[in-house]
Amino acid sequence: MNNSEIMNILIKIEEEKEIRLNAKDRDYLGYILKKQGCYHLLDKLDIDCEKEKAINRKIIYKTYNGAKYVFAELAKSGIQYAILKGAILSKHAYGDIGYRKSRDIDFLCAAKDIKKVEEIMYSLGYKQGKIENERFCLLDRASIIFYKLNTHQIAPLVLQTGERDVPFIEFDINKSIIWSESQLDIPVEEILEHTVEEELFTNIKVKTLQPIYFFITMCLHHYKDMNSCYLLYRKKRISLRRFYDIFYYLKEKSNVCKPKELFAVAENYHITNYLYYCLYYCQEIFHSDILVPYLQIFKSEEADRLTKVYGLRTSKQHEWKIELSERIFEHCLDKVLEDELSDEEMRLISKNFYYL
Amino acid sequence: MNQIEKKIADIIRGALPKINMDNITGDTEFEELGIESIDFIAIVIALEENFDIEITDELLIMQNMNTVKKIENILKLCGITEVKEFNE
Repeated sequence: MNNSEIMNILIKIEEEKEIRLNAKDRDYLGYILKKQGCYHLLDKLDIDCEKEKAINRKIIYKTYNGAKYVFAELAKSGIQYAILKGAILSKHAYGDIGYRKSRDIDFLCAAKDIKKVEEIMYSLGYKQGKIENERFCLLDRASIIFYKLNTHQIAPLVLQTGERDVPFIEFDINKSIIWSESQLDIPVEEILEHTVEEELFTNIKVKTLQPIYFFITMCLHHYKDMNSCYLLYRKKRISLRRFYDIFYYLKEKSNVCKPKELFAVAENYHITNYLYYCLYYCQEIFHSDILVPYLQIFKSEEADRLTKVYGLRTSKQHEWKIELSERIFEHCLDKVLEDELSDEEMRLISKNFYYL
Repeated sequence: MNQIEKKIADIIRGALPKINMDNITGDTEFEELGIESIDFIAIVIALEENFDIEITDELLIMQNMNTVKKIENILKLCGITEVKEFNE
C-alpha cells in the first residue's frame, strides 16, 4: 500500500464510503495509524485499539487528578490561565479522551504571572527538568535560560509522583501563543479574557479557552510544528494527527467558530495566514465541504505562498520539494533538511538539540 | 567605553570567540556582529559566572540585553556597579 492509497482511504473514511482491505493491507494501515496516534480512525476501520484507548484514558485521568492541586491553588490565587490542547481537545474534537495520547499538560499564562505560577508549583513539589528514558533530569542553568530566551515557553515543570502508571506530571508553560521567532506581539492577557471553566472529570475543574480562541491557539501550535526546522528535523515527519485535530475540532465547533467570526479574531492579531495554512492542508487531506467557506474567507496571496514553504523565520524559508503524503508517511525530513539547509541553519538545529 | 563596559565586552569575547568584536562600542547591537539569539545563552552564563549573580527572569529579555550599554544597565539592576580586578 503506497502513500497515495493511504490518503485515498483517509478521504473515503471521511466520506463514510465502504473500504475493503485485505488482511495484509489492514494490518499495515493499522500499524501506520497507531504510529500516527490516530485511534479514532482505527475505530472507524474496526481495527482494535481498545487497549490503547483504555491506557490513554487512565493516564490522562491520573495526570489531571494529580495536577488538581495546581488548579486549586491557581483558582485561589486568581491567576488567569488556560489549558490548551490535550484532554480538552480530545474531549471536544473526538468525544473521547482515549482517542488521543496526551502525557503532559499544556498551560498558557501571562509572562507577568510566570513567577507566581512557578512559586505555586515549587511549593507543590514540581521542579524544572525533563524526562529522559523514563527518568527525571534536572535542567541546568543554560537550558533554563535557553527556554526563556529562545522559546515561547519556560522550562517544563515536573512532579515525580512515585506512581507506577503516571510516574511524572509535566506542565509545559507557555507565555505566548506564537513562536519566539515571530515579530508579532499578541497580548496573552487579551487571549485569557476569553476563558471558560470546564469540568474535565468529576471534581476536576480547569480553565480553558472559548472555542474560537482554543482553535486559534491550536492552529498556531500545529503551524509551528509543521514549519519549525528543528521540529521537522527531530521528528522526521509531519504528524497526520495534527490535521485531524484541526478538522475534527472545527467540525464539532463550527456553530461557534463561524468563518467570519474566526477570521475577525485572527485578523485582529495578524495571524490569518497561519490559519489558512492549517485549513488548506486539511482540505488537501479531507476534501470537505465544511472547509470551503473558511478557505474562501482566509485565502490571500501571502497565505498561498506560505503553503509552499517551511521555516518559521520569514527571511529563512525553504520551498517544499516533496509532496504532503511524503512529509507525513516517509520519516525522511531529516535527510530533506540536511540537503537544503545551510551550515548555519544546521548549527542552530544542533544547538536546539543540545539545550532541549 | 567605561571600565565596566570593557569588562562586559571582554566577557562576550571570551564566551563567543568566533565573533569579531574589534569595532564594538557600547551601542553596537549584537545582531550587527552576527550574534544570534541562541548565542545569548553563552553571554548570560558568562556574565553570571563572572559577576557571581543570577539574572532574574524579568530581566532576561533579549531586546534589553543586545548592546553592551544595555547589559551594563542589567548588571546595575543586579547590584553590580563597578568592576573589581584582582592582581596576583
